[in-house]
Amino acid sequence: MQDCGDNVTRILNAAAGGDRQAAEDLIPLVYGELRRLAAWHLGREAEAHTLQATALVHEAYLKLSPGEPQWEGRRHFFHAAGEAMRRILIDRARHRKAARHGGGLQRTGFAEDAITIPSVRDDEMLAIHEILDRFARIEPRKAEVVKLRYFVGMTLEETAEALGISTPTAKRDWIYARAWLFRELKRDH
Amino acid sequence: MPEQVTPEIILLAALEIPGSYERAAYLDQACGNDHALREEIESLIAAHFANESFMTRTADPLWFEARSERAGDMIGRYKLHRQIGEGGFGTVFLAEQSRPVNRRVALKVIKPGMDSKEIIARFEAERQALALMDHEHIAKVHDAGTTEGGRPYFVMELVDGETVTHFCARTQLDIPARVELFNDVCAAVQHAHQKGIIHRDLKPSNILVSSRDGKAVVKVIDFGIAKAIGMENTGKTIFTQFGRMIGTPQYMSPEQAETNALAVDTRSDIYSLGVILYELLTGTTPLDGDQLRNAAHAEVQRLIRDETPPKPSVRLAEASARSGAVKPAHPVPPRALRGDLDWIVLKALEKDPARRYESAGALAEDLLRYLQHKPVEARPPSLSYLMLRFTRRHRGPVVAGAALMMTLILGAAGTSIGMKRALDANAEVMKTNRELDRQKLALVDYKERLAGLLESNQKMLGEIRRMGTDKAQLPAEFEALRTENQALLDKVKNEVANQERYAEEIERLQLSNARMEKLLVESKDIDTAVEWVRAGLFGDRITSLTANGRGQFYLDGKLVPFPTLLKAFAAPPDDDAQGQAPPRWLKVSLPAGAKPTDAVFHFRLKQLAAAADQIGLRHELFPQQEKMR
Repeated sequence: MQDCGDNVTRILNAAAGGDRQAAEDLIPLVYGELRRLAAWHLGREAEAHTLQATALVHEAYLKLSPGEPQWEGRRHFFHAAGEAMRRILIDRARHRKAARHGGGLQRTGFAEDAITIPSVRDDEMLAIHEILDRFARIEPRKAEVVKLRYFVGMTLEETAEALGISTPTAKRDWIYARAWLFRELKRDH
Repeated sequence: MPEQVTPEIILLAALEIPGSYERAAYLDQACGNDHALREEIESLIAAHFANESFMTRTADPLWFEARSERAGDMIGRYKLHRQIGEGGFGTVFLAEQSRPVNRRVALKVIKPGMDSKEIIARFEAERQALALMDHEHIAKVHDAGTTEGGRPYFVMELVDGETVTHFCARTQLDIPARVELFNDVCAAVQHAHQKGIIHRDLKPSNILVSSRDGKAVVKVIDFGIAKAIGMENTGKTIFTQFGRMIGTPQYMSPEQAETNALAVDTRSDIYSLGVILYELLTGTTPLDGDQLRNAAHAEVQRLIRDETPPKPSVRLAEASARSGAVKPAHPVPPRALRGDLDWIVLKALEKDPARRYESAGALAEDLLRYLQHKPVEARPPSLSYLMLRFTRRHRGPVVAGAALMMTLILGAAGTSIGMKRALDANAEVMKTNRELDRQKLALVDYKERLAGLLESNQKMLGEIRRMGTDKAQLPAEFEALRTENQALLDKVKNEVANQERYAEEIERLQLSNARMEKLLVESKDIDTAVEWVRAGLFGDRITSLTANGRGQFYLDGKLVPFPTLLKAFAAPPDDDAQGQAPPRWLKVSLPAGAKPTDAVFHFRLKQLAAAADQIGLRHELFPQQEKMR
């Protein structure tokens, strides 16, 4: 367990130093860390039956960052966390959808199987996932805002802080992204 | 230098301008000659407003629910057995309580995303009132609390049944049975209202039917829950707190759908009851559930506020025409709903709370009158009300039309002044006739009750004689009672004989009245005849004519020569001049199997319809496309 965390920290530092490959390698590692944290929480049944994605991401951050306020790896971490949380939620939505259509639910060992959110959201989430990469190529920063706002559930202020932008900018990005995604979704249908 | 003007800056600035004209002016200035940018921004503005709930889930910080409750778990002192239902607001379990009594209960855990402290506080505030409710058709709410995970739950009386709509469909219940079942629901709601509790979320899934001793018993569940989970801030709760809509907007009253709903009171429940009755009678809700689910927030509000549903009979006719023979027929023929049931349902569904039934009890009473074939309180929307709505839409033309109509009415009043006395006398006779009818009915009632009393009295006397051959064994009081009884009986018999004589007199009087009227109606003096016919025609708000197979028309069983009839229709009813005219309808009953388009009726009915249209008498003689020609 411990060396996993060290591994992430090492790569975070490399990414902070400008290593592009390191930034990409970060995502699966943060993904694993988030799932591990979730599983640990879910194991303790007696307390804390609700788990917020935001809290989870912040907890992972506290665990992985060296604790320096101006740490350069911070932005990379939240970039990776947004992407990782998106993958977790998409995996789960697909899994649930398959279970709905294909009959019996197969256990995958995902701790998140036990997690419930209203399944009506699944279709919207999957649709957004489908076009988010295209949006990210045109508007990379706005796509980051979507990941943190929509998939992690951060507030505008948290999102702004994580990405190192001002709150009004985060708001404009968010409004723009939301309208853009909706327009494209309608256009595709 | 100000910061560079990016598309997202223009977009947000444009969105913050409320008026579309001002917004366009801003875009002119901000985009200049850049048509591509202008187009881009406008399409984004359209997308922004197209779906308010899109991606709003982020506003809710509770993304993850670690683990839902499942069978075997203990919640408080309740052990969960199995899940028995899942609704928009929570999951329902069959649970067992061991202390202080051992019983099975229904336990509903509210879904995440709501403030549990607030819910429990609101529930505690309502608890006293809930405890006062005690009704055979209301499932009791026993308890409420918070799970270890911090989610609120409610413990309710367990009702092992199916929803009222399923039950009616499965058992193919006929209309009177459906209405009776529904009346029990009204009684339950009325009871709750009297205790100051509004349900706020009445819908079929909250009305369960179970079988007790082979009899279907209906129970309303979830009383007090909607308020506890904050549904009084209705529209808002339903739409934003859950992102997409998870409530059931098709049962929601217009005032509940308003985002700042302040005016939700018992009459909102009446509206929901109206929707449920509509569904029980036609198999569909007034507003289409799918359409509502797919609409944006503002559109949902508009539909609920403005969309007037078709009459139940019309909806049913449409539905059976569409489905043809494919779907098993709804066991109710559209014909059976036409008239009273249509009006009762529409009165409950009025958009304006003040125009609905004032209570669930009043709705139930009207349905009871329908079941007993008595005249119901609900009526077609009045002419003055429809005119008011019409005037609001077309102010100019209506003023001109009203002036013309006033002239017509004044003209008609002028000619009839000479007949005033004859008319007054006529009205007097009509009134007496109606009064006599009423008394005759009361007499029949009275006689039936007496007959019942007499029978039981005789039975008891026989019983006493059988056991009391030895008078010494009976208390002395018995003999006294018997004597008194006998005296009473004699008196009653005497009275009945009197009443019967009275009834005979009544009948003779009515006969002579009728004969006199017949003479008048058929008299050569057409003006007198017309006035008499008009008094008969317009005495009630519904003018009923009966046609025979030869195309002759009868009014109250009296043949009215057609020219006389047409002339009677030539001017509006006299009391309509007040502007507060009661609603008027023309109903023509044709012989069984006959159609208005049959040759023998067609020409005359057309003339009648045209005359009725002229004087504002509404009718359903011909489908719309023909009516105005």
